Amino acid sequence: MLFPTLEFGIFFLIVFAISWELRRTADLRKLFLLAASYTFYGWWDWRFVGLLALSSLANYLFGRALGGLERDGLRRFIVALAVIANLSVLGFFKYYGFFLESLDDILVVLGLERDLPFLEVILPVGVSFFTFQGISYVVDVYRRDVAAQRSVVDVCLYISFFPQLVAGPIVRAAHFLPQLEEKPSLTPAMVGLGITLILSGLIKKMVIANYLATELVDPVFFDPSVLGAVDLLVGVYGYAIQIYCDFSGYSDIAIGIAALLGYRFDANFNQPYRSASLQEFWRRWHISLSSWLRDYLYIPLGGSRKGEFGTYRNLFLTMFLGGLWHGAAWTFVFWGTFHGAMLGVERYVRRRFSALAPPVDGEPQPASRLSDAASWVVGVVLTFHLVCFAWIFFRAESFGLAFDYLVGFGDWSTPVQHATPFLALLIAGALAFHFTPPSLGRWIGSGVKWLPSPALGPAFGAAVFFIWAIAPEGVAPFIYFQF
Amino acid sequence: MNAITPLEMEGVVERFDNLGALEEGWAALSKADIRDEDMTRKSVARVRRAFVVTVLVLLLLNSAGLVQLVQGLSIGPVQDTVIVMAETWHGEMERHGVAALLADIRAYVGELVQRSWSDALIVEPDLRLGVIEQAGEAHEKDRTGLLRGAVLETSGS
Repeated sequence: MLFPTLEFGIFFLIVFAISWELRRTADLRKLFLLAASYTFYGWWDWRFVGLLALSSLANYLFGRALGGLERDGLRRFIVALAVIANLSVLGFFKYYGFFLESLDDILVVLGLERDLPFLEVILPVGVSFFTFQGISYVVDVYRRDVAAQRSVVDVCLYISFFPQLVAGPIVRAAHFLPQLEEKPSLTPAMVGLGITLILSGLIKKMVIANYLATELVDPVFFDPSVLGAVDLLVGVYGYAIQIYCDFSGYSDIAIGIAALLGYRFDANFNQPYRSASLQEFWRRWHISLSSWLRDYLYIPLGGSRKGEFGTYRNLFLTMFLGGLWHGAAWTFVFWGTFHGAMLGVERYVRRRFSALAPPVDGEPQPASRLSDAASWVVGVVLTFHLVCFAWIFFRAESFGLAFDYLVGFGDWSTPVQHATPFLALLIAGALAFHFTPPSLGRWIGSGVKWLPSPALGPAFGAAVFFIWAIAPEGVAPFIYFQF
Repeated sequence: MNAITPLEMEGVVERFDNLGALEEGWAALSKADIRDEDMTRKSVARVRRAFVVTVLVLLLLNSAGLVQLVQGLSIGPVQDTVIVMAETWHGEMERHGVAALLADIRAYVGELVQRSWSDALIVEPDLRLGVIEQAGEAHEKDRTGLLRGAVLETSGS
């Protein structure tokens, strides 16, 4: 069941109506939301509902074990066991085939061919997301950021709550579980925000991402060797916008739906393509994942406290694993390591610049005033193109296709085939949105929150209809479902 | 042993004193809770009404979507009745010209999508040369491109 479908619309109307009817009986409401979440998940494949329930139950038990222990050594052992158990599930479903294929390739190169136990493992949708949420819960209990929950329903609902279940945002236990303790409430601000975010998500996904995917990105990446540089350039810009609109659109709808059910999720994207550095980009792109990696991987590895070399190593390792998290393919690994390496280079260059022109009496010298408007523009353009370069490897199905893509940039004589004015306008409009005031959504939301229902209903209905009408027919699956 | 703090004791006494108020339900809650409850009740009612109107708007303007949805239902007497009702409704919307709005918007957007750089940049000369009909035919042919690119819903991997 995908968000932008009539099926989901009907499902949500039922869940909204019943869940608010049950607001005075908190336990029953949570149980109902849990049943709704499992129904939502089971819509794809009922077989994996068992996996989701088992994963949630295991993490609940790990949490209970940690909550009842005082000895540090034993607590460390339990948390390590929990992390290994979670990663084993992820490893089996997501990386089993990848590692075996890679091993097979190595054995062939070494002349040691063997019959390896290949299996047709189906990847459960959203496994990376609910595994990370499970780890988040256990580690938060271990760090005493959140108390071990007595209620198994609360833990199961936290891990499987349907708005964020299959493609995030990755919600932290310490942020969500306390909300389950509170009495559910719906304020006009939450209504305004929810409606605004749902509409913004639908436009991003159904109109922008779907047009770019079907009319530009899919054909361009199918065989880049027959296209000229203009198509390839517009194609990769198009992919940058497509993946942003696809994923941030999903996040917007998820946050909006959660808000209408009375729960608050943090923002997952913050105009990422206005970043003037890669470091800034990662503070604005998939914020829930980058902060998860920072708090549960980069900092435990030592962060920037292990000296210059240690910092570069930790950055690199974090981004390498971040790349691998996205998908079981070497192109994703390259994407992650490229970002890790570039973050290291950026950090090194910035430190050298600072050393060349240190501030005098707290005032930056003229040479170090590189953070002014001109350098910001250069930074934004450079960062965007570095990100786009990495997207080529992220999107291409193999290194061969990515290489063809890069080679094609040398051919400026082939006529344009796919880059039409409509698509160029979509890309330009979506890029321009990145430079609008960051609180634009909140302003619109605050306008919506006071609309009376006789105005809100027709406005929302007309907006949904208009989006439906201008979007291409059919619904493409969200890109991040595969992760 | 959990001893009752003076503050908690005060609360118990207050509640005991207000036993009559407790029985009435609302009075047992603090003013802030009542305010929250009232605000939530109003907000939920407002969104519910808005959703009802939204559904009506969509039934009116997107009756084709409704037919598409019910055609995915399995075979059975109830489902058959639902399909017949949806098709009758769609027929009515077509008869009154309401359903044409969706088709008109799609056709217009389809033309925009298929427009090439030369179409976008040289519109006036084409019109002066009187090739409007030819251009119209070309656009009609190009509309299939919209369908060509469309993808169906698939299950997640």
